[in-house]
Amino acid sequence: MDFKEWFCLKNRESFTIDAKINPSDAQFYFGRQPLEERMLKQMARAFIDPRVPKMMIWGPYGSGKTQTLYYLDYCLTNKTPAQCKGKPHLVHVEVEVQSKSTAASWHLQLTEALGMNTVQEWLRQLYNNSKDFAEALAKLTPDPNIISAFGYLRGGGDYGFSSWRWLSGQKLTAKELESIGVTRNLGEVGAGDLVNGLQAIGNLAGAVNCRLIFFIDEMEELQNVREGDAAESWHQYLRKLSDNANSSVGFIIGSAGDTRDDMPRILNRQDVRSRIGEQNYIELETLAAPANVKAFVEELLGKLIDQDAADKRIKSEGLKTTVKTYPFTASAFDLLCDYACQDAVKSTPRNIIKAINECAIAAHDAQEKVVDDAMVNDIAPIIFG
Amino acid sequence: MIEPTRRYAEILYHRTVERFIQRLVLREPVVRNLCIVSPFISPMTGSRYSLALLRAKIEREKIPTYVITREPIEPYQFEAAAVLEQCPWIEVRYNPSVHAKLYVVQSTRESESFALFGSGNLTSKSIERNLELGMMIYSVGPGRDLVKELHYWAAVRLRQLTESKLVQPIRPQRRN
Repeated sequence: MDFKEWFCLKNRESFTIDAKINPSDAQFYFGRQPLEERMLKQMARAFIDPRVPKMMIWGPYGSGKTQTLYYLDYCLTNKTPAQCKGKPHLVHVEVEVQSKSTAASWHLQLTEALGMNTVQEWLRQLYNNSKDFAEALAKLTPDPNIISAFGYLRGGGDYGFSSWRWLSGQKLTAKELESIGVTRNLGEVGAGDLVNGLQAIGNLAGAVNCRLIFFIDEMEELQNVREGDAAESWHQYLRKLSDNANSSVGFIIGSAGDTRDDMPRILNRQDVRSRIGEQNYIELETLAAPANVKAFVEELLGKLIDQDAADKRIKSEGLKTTVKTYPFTASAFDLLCDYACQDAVKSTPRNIIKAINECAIAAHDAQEKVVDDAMVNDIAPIIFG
Repeated sequence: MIEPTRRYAEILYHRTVERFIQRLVLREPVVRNLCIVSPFISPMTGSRYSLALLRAKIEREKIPTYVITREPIEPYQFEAAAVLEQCPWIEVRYNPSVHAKLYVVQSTRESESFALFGSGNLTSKSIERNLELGMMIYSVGPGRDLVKELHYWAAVRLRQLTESKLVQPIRPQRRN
């Protein structure tokens, strides 16, 4: 009998939750109801003013930032707030940052994650829906260079490709610039220039009834930026993106940090904070309190295990457990929760899921139908001790 | 009842080397250096923590790793050597006299460093069949100096011996 069948798992191979590998895992958000309600309310409000969400999710490693981003994606897609005008177009980016990276690299990563084909398709839709395409483009941006690039991008071919490279901030030769009717490279006059390009793309999304929102993870990588000018370009880019004037490109940023001061300074500067709004800085705390840990584990087991199958197995094989704590015995369940509460820093969702999974693997290896105290005592101290 | 977890030494009677690897994998300490001193090494295919899994972790997390073992003779040793070779983060030395079995994790947070010494080789047989004994030392309290000393012995003294012939150097790469 394989692991899945052994523990009556519902449509999954293990207790691990990873929305990147199993997209359906994005629906799970265990044991954090007040936080969940707060985030969803905040997001719904953001669609009224500034019309797109701009949020910063931070917390220690393993506190569930990535899962939170994927859960918010799930909610936006499946329970789109009434306040959101248009269909959310959600793009996930895991930022890579080197010591000399500038905002141009961030812009490139954002636009490449969005994709040339998507923007081209939006331009084609706008072309088909508008009587005067030139007039429709002019409504998206006052910048004649961006308008020209949009025009060529819609047409496709070599010029379309050059236009996309231009919009994503890559450097073109003088001849290439001339061929797509632009006077300079995007970003040549600063990071704000790049944001103008991105905002124009956001406005284009709005014109075809979409709401462009980026989910940007791993932003603690910004700690790698050491050069003064490079750091300043990131700051300018984020500052402009956070500004109220940007009502077309939303972003939800995830960044690791045990305390807010541990976050990269660029994300935490006063001018950025005031633009994003204190209420949009969401801290993911560890679970810590016994009640939180219990609720988390109970909800997780309840969702991942086929309750009917587990109930049948418990009864037919006379297992010393109940559906509520299966596959743990009642005392092993309590023991696991006790271990998880020992040190607030370590009582993270990642550690708890890891402990559950490892205990279950140990039971499966030993061909035991339930996880008992001895198995928990073997595994949990390694993780939580 | 929760067992005490902050003691500095623990005697292991069962699957000793596996417990070392398990701690490395489950606790995810930020590792500065890993030392493996084991006369015999097998690929441990089919074990919960195989050599390939360990190599993948070393490569993913860019952990400078020193392996000191004996030159392969048996087919299983050649298989293990094949798993370790070409990894830019693993240094391999062959020392024909090595009989000690020592494993050390040096973490960037000193309290997360730990070491295991005892009778167990890095082989499936040692984990699954042999009767082995090991002592795990954690870098807390008096354990700090012990882990440091064991690390120094493996990472410096043993590697410096003329007998410890370098067969695969770490190819330097900058960490981010």
